[in-house]
Amino acid sequence: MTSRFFATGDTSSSESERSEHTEDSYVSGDESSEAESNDGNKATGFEVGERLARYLRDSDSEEGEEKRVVRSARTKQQEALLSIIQQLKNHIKISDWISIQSDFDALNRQLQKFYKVDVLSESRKEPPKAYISAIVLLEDFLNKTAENKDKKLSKTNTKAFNAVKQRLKKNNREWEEYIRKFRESGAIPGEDLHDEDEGTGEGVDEEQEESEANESWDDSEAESLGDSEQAKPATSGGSQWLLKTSGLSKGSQATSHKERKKSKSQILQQSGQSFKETFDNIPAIASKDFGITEDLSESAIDQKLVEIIATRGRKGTSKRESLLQLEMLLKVAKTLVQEMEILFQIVSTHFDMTPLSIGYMSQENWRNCVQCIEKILNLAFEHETQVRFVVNHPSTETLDVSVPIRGDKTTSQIEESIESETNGDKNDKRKCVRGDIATLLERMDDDLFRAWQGIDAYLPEYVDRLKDEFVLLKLLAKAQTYFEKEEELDRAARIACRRIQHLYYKPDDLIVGMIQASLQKTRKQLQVIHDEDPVLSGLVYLNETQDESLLLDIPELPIHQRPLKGEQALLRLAVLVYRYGSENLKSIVILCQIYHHALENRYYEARDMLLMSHLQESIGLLELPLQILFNRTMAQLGLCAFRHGLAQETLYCLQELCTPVHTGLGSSTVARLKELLAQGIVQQRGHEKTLEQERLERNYQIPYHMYLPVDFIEMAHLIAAMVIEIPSLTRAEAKNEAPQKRKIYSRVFQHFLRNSIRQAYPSPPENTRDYIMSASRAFLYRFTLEICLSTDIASIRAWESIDVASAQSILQTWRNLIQVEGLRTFIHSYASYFDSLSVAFLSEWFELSPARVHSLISKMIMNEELQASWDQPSGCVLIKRWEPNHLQSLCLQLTEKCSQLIDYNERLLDARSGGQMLKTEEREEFLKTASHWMNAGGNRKLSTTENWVKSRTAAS
Amino acid sequence: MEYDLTKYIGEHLDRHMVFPLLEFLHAQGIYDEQDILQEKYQLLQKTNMIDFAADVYLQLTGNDPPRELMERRDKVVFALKTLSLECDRILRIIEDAELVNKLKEERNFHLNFLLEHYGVTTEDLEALFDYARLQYDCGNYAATCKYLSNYLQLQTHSERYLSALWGKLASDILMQEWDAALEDMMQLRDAIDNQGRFSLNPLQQLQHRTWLIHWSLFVFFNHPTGRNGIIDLFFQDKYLNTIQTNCPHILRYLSSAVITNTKRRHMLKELVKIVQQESHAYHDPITEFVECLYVNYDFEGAQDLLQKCETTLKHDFFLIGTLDEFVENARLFVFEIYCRIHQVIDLNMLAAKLNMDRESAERWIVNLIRNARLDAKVDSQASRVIMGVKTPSVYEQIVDSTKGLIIRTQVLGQNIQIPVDLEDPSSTVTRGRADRTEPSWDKRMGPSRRNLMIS
Repeated sequence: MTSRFFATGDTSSSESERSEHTEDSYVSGDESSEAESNDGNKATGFEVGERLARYLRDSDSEEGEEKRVVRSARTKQQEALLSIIQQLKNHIKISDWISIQSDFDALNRQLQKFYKVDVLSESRKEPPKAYISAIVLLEDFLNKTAENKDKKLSKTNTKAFNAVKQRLKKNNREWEEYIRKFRESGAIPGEDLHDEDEGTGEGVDEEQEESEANESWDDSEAESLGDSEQAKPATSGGSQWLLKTSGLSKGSQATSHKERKKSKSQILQQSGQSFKETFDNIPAIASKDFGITEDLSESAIDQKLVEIIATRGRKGTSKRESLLQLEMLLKVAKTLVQEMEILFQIVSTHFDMTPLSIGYMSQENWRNCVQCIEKILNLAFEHETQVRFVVNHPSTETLDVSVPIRGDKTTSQIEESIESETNGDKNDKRKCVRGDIATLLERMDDDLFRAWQGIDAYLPEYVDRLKDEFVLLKLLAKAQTYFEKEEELDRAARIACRRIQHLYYKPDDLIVGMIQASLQKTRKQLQVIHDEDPVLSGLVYLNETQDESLLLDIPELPIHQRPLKGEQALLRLAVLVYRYGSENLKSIVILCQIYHHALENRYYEARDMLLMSHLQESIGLLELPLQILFNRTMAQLGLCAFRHGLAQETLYCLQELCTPVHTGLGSSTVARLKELLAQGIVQQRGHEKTLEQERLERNYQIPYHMYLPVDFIEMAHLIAAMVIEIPSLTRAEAKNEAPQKRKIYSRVFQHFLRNSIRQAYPSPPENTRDYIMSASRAFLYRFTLEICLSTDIASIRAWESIDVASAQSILQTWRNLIQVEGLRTFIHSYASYFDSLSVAFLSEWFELSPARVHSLISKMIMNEELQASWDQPSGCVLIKRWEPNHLQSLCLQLTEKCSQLIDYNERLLDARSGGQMLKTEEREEFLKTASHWMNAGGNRKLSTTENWVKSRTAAS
Repeated sequence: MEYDLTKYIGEHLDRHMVFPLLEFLHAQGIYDEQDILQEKYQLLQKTNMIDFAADVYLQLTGNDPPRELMERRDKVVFALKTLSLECDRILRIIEDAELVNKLKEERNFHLNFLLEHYGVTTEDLEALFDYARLQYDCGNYAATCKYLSNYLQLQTHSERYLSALWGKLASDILMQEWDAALEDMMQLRDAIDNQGRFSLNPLQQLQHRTWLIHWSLFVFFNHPTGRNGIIDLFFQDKYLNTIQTNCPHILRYLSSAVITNTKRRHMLKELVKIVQQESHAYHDPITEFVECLYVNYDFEGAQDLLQKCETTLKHDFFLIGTLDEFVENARLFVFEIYCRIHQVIDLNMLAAKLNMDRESAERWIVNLIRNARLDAKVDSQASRVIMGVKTPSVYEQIVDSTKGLIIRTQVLGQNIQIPVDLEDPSSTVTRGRADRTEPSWDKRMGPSRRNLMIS
C-alpha cells in the first residue's frame, strides 16, 4: 500500500495503487484504517526498506509472511482453472464430448491441487466458485443434450457423452450443497466467474483486466468506484465485509507485487518530494478516495490538481486513474476557476488516453470532451464578468513539477496586475483561467477528422461519428460567439475557419436545413428553460444580436425565425476570417468559398474569386492540405463549368487533374485523380512508395462523405475534351496544317483517341473512357448524333452519381453543344466535297434550328474557317473552291521554303546568342510549349489558368 | 423601366450631379412624378440649396416649406458669412482680376509671394477651400470653380489637392464648361494613376477611377471630341479593369460610343471580346446587339434588338443625343456584315428588313456599296444584289508571305554583329565607330541596291 502514504495523490505507482484504492474504499470510515494511516504518517520519515516491511505487516496483519508465496501459487492455479473452464466452454459450444471429457478430468485435477495448497494454509472447505460454476454449466449442458436425443451424435462422441454423464453425476453429489447455493444465487453458469467473488475470484479479475485493452478498464473501474460508494454507508455493519476485503487485498497484492517492484525506484525518487507536500497538507491526508473529500480546502484542491498534472505523461501512470481523480476533484471543486481548470485537465487527459496506434478518441471519450468544453464555455458565459482565459502565461509555460502550475501566487499576481491596470475598478477584476479553448476545439475537430479518416465508411459507426459533426458545430458556434464578445478576434477567426471547413462542401439546402434544425431545438430548449443562456442557439451566427438582453427576448428575434441562407452564413464567417485571420486561414477560406460557389452553380463568381485570389500561382509552395483543397476546388469548379455547358472552361479546370503522370495506357486517369484529391491511396505500377510516404498520404486523406465523384470528373473532362478537340482536329486536317502547329487542347484525349482509332475492331465499351472514345468515333466518322449521344454518352455509369433530373438537364446542354460541334466537324471534313449545302438539310441532319445553322455557318465564314458565301434566295451556302495550278503551287512552295530558311537562320542566331534575340511572341510560344511539357509531368500548378489571367486580369 | 441605369450611375456621382439625371427622368415621364419629386426633395435636404428644396417641397405637397428648413437657411447664410470673413484676405486678391493677372504675368502668383506681400497664410488658403466647398453645396458653382482654380494654383502639396480637383471637375460639369471639365479630368486621371503623389492604395485607386469613369460620362457625351476620348480612356487597361470589376453597366456607353464612332472601327474587336466576357455580369439591348451581331452573326436577332436599343437609348440621359446616329450606324454594321458573307441577296427582302420601299432600298444599298467599298452589283431585273466573289489570288499570297522576309533578313544581319562585339571587347571602339557609319552608308546605298535587285 505504498501510495497510501502519499495519500495526497502521487499516482505514479498506478498499478499497485489500483488494487489499493479498492481496499481503501472498503475500509474507509473504519477506525482501523485511520490507525493505519496514522501509522503511515509516522512511517513517512522512515527508511524505505522499513517502510516496505511495515507496509506488508500493515495489510495482512493476521497472516504470516510466508503466506505470500502461497497466495501467488493459488493465483497461478486460479489462472489454470480459468483457462480450463474457458476451454470447456468452447468445447461445449461445439458439443465435442471427447474434449469435454478430458477437460472435466483436468478440472478435477486442478481442484485437487487447489485443495492441496489450501490445506497448507487453512482448511477451507469451500471450493472455488469458478469450479462450481463450471460443473453447473456442464450439468446443464448434459441435461440439455440428453433431452435433445433426436440430435444425433457421432459414435465416439456418444461414448464420451455417456462417460461424462456418469462421472459428473458421481462428482456432483460431492458438491451438491454448493451447486444449490450457486443456483440460488442466480448466476449464469460459466459466466460471471469473477464478480463479487471472494479473494480468489477478485485476484483473477485483476489479473485478467490488466491484460485487457483500455476500454475494458473503463468498466472495471466504474464498478469498483461503484463498489466503493456502496461500501461507504455499509461500514457500520461491515465486519463481514472487512474480512472479505482483507482477503481481496491479499490477492491483489500478490498480483501487483511485480509491478510494485518495477515502480519502486520511481516511488523512491518521488517519495521524498511528495512527503514534503504531504506534510504541508496534513488535512488532505485524512481524506479518502485519493484523498478527495468534500471538505478539501481550496488550496488543497489546487495542490491535488498540480500533482495530477505532474504525473501526466510519466511511465506507469494510469490515465484512467487520473481521470477518475479529476472527476472526483471536479465534484468537490470550490471556485469557478478551479472547476474550469479541472475541466480543462479532464479534456487533456482524454486526449492523452488516445492510443497512438488508432490516432483518434473513441466516440464516448470524444463526447465527454465535448461536454467538458461545453461546460467550460457555459461557465465562461455565465460568469463572463469574473473569468477570462489566459494562454501561456510566462510563469506557467513549463510543466515542471517543482513549479506549481497554477499556484495561488501566479493568479494573485495576475490579479494584481489587472487591478493596477484598471485602477482598482473592482468590477473589471477578472480571474484568469489558463487554457485555450480555441486550440482545444481545433484539436477536437482534428480528432473527429481523424476518426472519419480511420473508420470504414460503410460501417454504422461512421454514420454515428458523422452525427458528432453537428454537436461540434454547435460548440464551435458558441465558442466563436464567446471570442467575439471577448474581442479575441483572431481566435474567433480560427474558429470561424473551422466552421467553414465543415460547411463548405455542403449544398445550401443542407446548411439551411441544419441551421433550422438547430434553431428548432434551441427554441424548444428555450421554451423549457427561459433563463438559460440562449447563446446555445448553435449554428446561427449571431452578429448583431450578441447582446444578452436581445437574445433573451426570444419571441421577437427575427434572426432566429428567418432561415439564413447557407451562402450568407458562409460569407459572414469568411469575412471574419478575412479581417482577422492569418494568411493561411485566409487561403483556406477563400478556397472553401470558391468551392461553395462552384457547388451552388455560381460559376462566374467562383471563377472571378479564384482569379482574384492569385492562389494558382503559389499553390505549389503551400502546404499539402491546402494543395488538396485547391485540387478539390478546381475539380468542383470544373464540374460547375460542366454543368453550365462551358466546354473550354471545364477543360481548363480539369485538365491538370486528369492528366496521368505517364500517358501510358496502363496508367489510369482515375488513379491520378484519386491521388490528387486524396480520396484513397493508390498503388501505382512501377512506383513503390515508402512507408513514410504512405503514412503521410494516409494522414491527408479526405473523409468519405466529402468525396467528389471521381468517375464523373473523368467523364466531364473527357466529354469537354471531345467537344473541343475533335472540331479542332478536323479543322486542322481540312486546312492541311502540320500536326505540330495545331493547338493542342487536351493531350490526354488525343492520346486516347489515337489509341482507340488504331484498333481495327473496337470492342464494346466497358468503362467511361471507352464509352467516350466510342462516342468520339461516332462523332468523327458517322455523324450519327443518336449513336453518339444516347448510346454512348448517356449510358456512362458515372451519370448515376448525380440525381436524374440534373443529369437530364446537363445531358441536354451537352447534347446541344455536341450538335453544334458536330455540324462544325462535318463542315470541316466534308465541305470540300460539296458545291453547295442547304440549310434545310443541315438543320435536319443535326437537329438544329435553321437560324442556328445559319448563324453557325456565318460565323465560320467570318472567321475564315470556311471559304464560302450565302446564296440568300435559295438558302444555300455556296462553297468556294479553288485549286492552284502547277506553277502557282510551286511558287507557294518556294515562298514557304524561303520563310522557313529565315526561320532557321533566326533560330541559329538565337542559339548562338543564348536566346536573346528571340522575338517576344516567338519566345512566348516556345515557353508555352515547354511549360506544357513540363506540366504534363504532374506539376500541380495549373498553368492553364494563366491563360485566363492574361485574358482577364482582375483589378488590383 | 427595365434598362434604366440611373440607379447604378447615381451611386457613383456627386449629389448635385444627380439633379440633371432626375430632371431628365422627370421629363421622360416613365416614373411617377410624385416619386421623383420626393426623391429630389430628399436629395436636396442633404445639400445646402435650401431655396431649391423649398420650391420642390411646394411642388410636392403644395404647402409652405417646414420650419426647420428655414432655420437651416439662416445657419447656412451665417456659415457663409463667417467663412468669407475668414478668408477675406485672399478673397480680396482673387476678386481683383487685374491684380491676379498682373501677378501671374510676373510669375508671382504663388503662396510665398502672397505671404510676403499680402500676408496670406496657409490657413487662409484652407479657409478658401472650405468656403468654396460651402458655395458648391449652396449651388453656387461659378464661385466654387473660381476659388478652387485659384486654390489649386496656390496650393499644390495639400492633401486636399485631390478633393479640390474633384470639386472643380464637378462645378465645371454642372456649369457645362466642357472644355475646362475635360482638362480637369485629364489632371485627375494623372493624379490617380500617379501613385507617388497621393499615396492611394489600390482599392482607393479603384474607387477613384470608378468615380472618374462615371463623371466623365457627362463630359464625353457633351464635348465635341468626347466620342474619341471615351474610347481612348475606357479602353486603357486600368479603366477596363475598373469597368469589369466595379461597374459593368458602363459597357453600354462604351458600346454605343464604339458603334457611333466611325473612326474607331478597330476597337470593335476588343469591345466584342469584353462584352462577351462580361455578358454574365451585365447585359442590356445594346451589349446584346453587339454580341448578337459579332459573336453569333444572328441578323434577325440583331434587327429585333435594334428596336429595343432605340427605346433604351431614348430613356438614357447620356445617350439620347446619339440615338439617330446609333441607329443609322448599327444598321450599317448589320448590313455590311450581311453583305460580306452573302453572294446573292434578294432586294425585296432587304427592303422589307430596312423598312423602305424597293427603290429607296436600292438607293441605300448603292450608297452602302460606295461607302463600304464593297465589291457588289445590283441586278435590277432579278431584283438581286450580287456580291463579287473574292478568289484568293496566288500573287497576293506570295507577296504577303514574302513581304516580311527582307526586314527579317536585315534584322538578322544587324544582330549578327552584336555577338561578335561581345566576343572581342578590344575592338569595340573601332567597331562602334564603324557601326555608327554603317547605317548611313546603308541608307545611301539602300535604294540603289534595291534597284539593282529589282532590275
